[in-house]
Amino acid sequence: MIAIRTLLDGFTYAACLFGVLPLYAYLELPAQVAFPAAMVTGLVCDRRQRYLCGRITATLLSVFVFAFYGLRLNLTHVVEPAVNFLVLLLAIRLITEKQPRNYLQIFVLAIFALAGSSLLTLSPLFFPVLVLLVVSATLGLIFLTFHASDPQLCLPTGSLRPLFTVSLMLPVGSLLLMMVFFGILPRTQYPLWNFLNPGPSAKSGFSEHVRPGVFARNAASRALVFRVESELLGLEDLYWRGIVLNVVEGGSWRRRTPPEQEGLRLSGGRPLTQIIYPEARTDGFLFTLDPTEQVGGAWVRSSADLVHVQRTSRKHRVSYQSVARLGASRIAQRADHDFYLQLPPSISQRLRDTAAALVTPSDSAADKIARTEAFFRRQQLVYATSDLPGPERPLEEFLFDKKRGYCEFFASSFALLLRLEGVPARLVGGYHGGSRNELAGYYSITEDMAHVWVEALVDNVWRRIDPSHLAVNANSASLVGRGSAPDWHRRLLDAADYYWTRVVISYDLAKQLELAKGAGFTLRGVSAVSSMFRLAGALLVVVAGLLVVIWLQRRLTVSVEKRLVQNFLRLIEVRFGMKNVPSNLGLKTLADQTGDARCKEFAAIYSAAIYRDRVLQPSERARLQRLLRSLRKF
Amino acid sequence: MPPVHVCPIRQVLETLDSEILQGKQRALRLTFIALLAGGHVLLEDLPGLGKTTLALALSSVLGLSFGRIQCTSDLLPSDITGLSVYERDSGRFRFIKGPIFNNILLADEVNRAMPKTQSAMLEAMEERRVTVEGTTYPLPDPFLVIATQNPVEQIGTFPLPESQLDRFLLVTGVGYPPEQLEKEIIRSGGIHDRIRDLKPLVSSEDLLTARQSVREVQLGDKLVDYIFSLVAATRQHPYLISGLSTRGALNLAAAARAAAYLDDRDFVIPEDVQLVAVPVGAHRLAPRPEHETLAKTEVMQSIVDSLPVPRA
Repeated sequence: MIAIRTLLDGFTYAACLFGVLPLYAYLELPAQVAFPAAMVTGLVCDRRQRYLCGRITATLLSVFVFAFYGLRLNLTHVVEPAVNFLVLLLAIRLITEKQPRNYLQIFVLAIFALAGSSLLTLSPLFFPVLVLLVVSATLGLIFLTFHASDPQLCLPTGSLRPLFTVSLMLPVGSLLLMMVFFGILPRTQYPLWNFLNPGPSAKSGFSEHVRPGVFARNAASRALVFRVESELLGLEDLYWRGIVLNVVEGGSWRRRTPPEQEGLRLSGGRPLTQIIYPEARTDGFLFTLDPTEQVGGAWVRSSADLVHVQRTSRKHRVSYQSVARLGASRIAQRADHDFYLQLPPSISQRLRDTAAALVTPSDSAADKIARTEAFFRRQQLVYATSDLPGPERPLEEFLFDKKRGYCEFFASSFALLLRLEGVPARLVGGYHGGSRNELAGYYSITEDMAHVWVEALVDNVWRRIDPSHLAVNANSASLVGRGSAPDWHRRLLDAADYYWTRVVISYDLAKQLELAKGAGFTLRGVSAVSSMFRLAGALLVVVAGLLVVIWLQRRLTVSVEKRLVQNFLRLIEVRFGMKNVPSNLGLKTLADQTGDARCKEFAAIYSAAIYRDRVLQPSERARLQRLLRSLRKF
Repeated sequence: MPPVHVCPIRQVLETLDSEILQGKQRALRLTFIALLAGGHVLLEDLPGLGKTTLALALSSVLGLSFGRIQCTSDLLPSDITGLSVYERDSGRFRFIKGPIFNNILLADEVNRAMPKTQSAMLEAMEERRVTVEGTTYPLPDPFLVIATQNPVEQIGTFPLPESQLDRFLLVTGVGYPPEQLEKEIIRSGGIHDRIRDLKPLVSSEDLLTARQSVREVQLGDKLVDYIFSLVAATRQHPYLISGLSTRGALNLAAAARAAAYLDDRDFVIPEDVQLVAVPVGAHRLAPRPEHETLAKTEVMQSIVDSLPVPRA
């Protein structure tokens, strides 16, 4: 025998756990501590049937929590206090005695908590947790109805199996319904709240300006930036272009719109189509494999220096397709040399001297670059992310004193020297490398792969130079690690997340329809494909026809009499509360038990036909149907 | 709906039921069923519960002749069937009919008679005629034997063997009357005296007509299937060596027809079969030795309860 209460409690705690789980990381410390504590305390209290917290205490606590978080509520700070309040309320509910309505409150709070989590994150954890929550809440509610009618109720273990089987049909049904709604309901592709109000934490990856020396230590996170569905590429090709920084102001490199007349043409190279799934970002830069001329869609603005930006009017985030030209030359058209030679006035004499000593004005651009590279090698520079040069004169310190730095130091000093030498140069910001996931055939690019390199104009061609590779430890530094694959389980999780993003988050009905429509147009000429479509269509028709035949056959083989009596029995069950009419009960006995004249008449007319081996006459059938209708209305 | 013609037999049943023999509805109805189906009844109950009263009342209101035998161990077959006596005047043997030549015969404590006597009576019941000294005498029609036996007494009894029991259409008890009724009986005395003064309410022709109508009551295929499945279930029951015979099934059908007739219907419904299944079937069951102590009526009832009725 199993007490219904035990089952109910089990499902209740499970629902709480699943409701709060995706939210947990976003909670503040009090809620993070209080919730697990309340789960454990509640379980112990339920077992002992003695509760720490009376109803009045619980109410007072709730009011206090409400007041505390209510005061912290403001326009930019809505969701966090709300979810913390929800979770604390749930915790309070768990440690108090539970009436049936309290169970209901707990289920509602758990569902709200899960819903709240979707405002903060759209992680793939949401889906399994949602399924589990739906199952546990539905089963919990079913057991709650038992519990409400008899709190002491115990069921033999054997009878639980059918009960579970029947009960599970509810969540399964609602999950199927959910699949339907998934296809048609509008959705957000960002966690709404985090997207509208990005967190204040500074990102140490890609940024819109480069200012070496600001941080004494560069600690990069492994947060995902985007994934690229692509074929296997060498590390030397894995340069993900994001932004081009073309002016130096003070100590930092910034982006200014390139001169209007400027153009750029890619020549040669192997075209490579890629689909890129970006994570939520607010700056609008679209990363592409360097060099990419075009990014699909009219919602992208591309500039002459191959920087692609999402138009601000575009609300959706979707995946985008890009066609890179691997190994193509970037031929500059009408490039404004002066624009790419601008120097800040504050540039130090030592740098100017260094540049002047390296080259003579008559040298070709290629020579100048070669000499500068040789200078970098001579300096024995070390690629490092700690113990970095300070903010006052970062580049001199980097080149001559500390000789330590990360890509920003290498690239900005290299570009600056090139400009001093008279070679047009600019910085390109983006990512370098990528962890290959062979399971699903994509690269994932994380924040710690952020990188800056240099492009110099040599013989009217923008040449990519990566000065970080001139470091003495270039072969052992973290640059080499980029592109190495993480552990298999991490890859597995990442692949799951990738599919989640691909299938669920970036699902867009309009886009699917567009694709289907586009596919229809392009496939029109292909006879093989169209015949395949015809075959599929015919198959569909055959299956539908079979289903109709089966349905008709069922309807025809089940006689009118059988249907009538089935309806009659069902109505008796519903109207007269006769649960599970025994099969050995005759219709007359049944009708007599109801005491209802209509039932008696039904039984009399029906029996007179059936037990005389004749079918019902139309008049009798009509009368029986009238009786059933009247019974239905009661 | 069945043709509505007021049947005198039904009226008699109602009169007896509501006015004279209160508290014996079930036994009375079953006796009527036996009468209409042309079978015989064995009332199995303790003495003093009105078995005899029932038989007497029945014969009085039906205007039928009534004979009674008190069975004892020295009862001879000729005491039942009658015997030939030599008439000196005519110089011939004259057959003097025994009590069996009545329309209704009450055989009290039938299990006290010797097997030989029992056998003679039961044979007459089955054959509906008596052969004495080479001459066959038909028994009157309608002919109903109401035998009684005390199920508790064992000493000096000769329990009826199964083959003999099979000749009774149905076996039933009478049971104690309800509390209020019994108090009323205690207060006002029995109805024994009143029964003698009962006027016949129907003629024997009426009874024969009714019997004819009973035979015309329709037994649909579904009911035939139902009766067959009932019989088959008794034959396959794990507690039983043997279940209902074909005669048992025939009797079941006949009794169900009579029950339908009494319920004013010209077709049988499953409830009719359920009503008569235990009285008709139980005494024909032969339990296995290890289940000898089980009440046969309960086994039969469990079989009836386990079978789904045909509904469509």
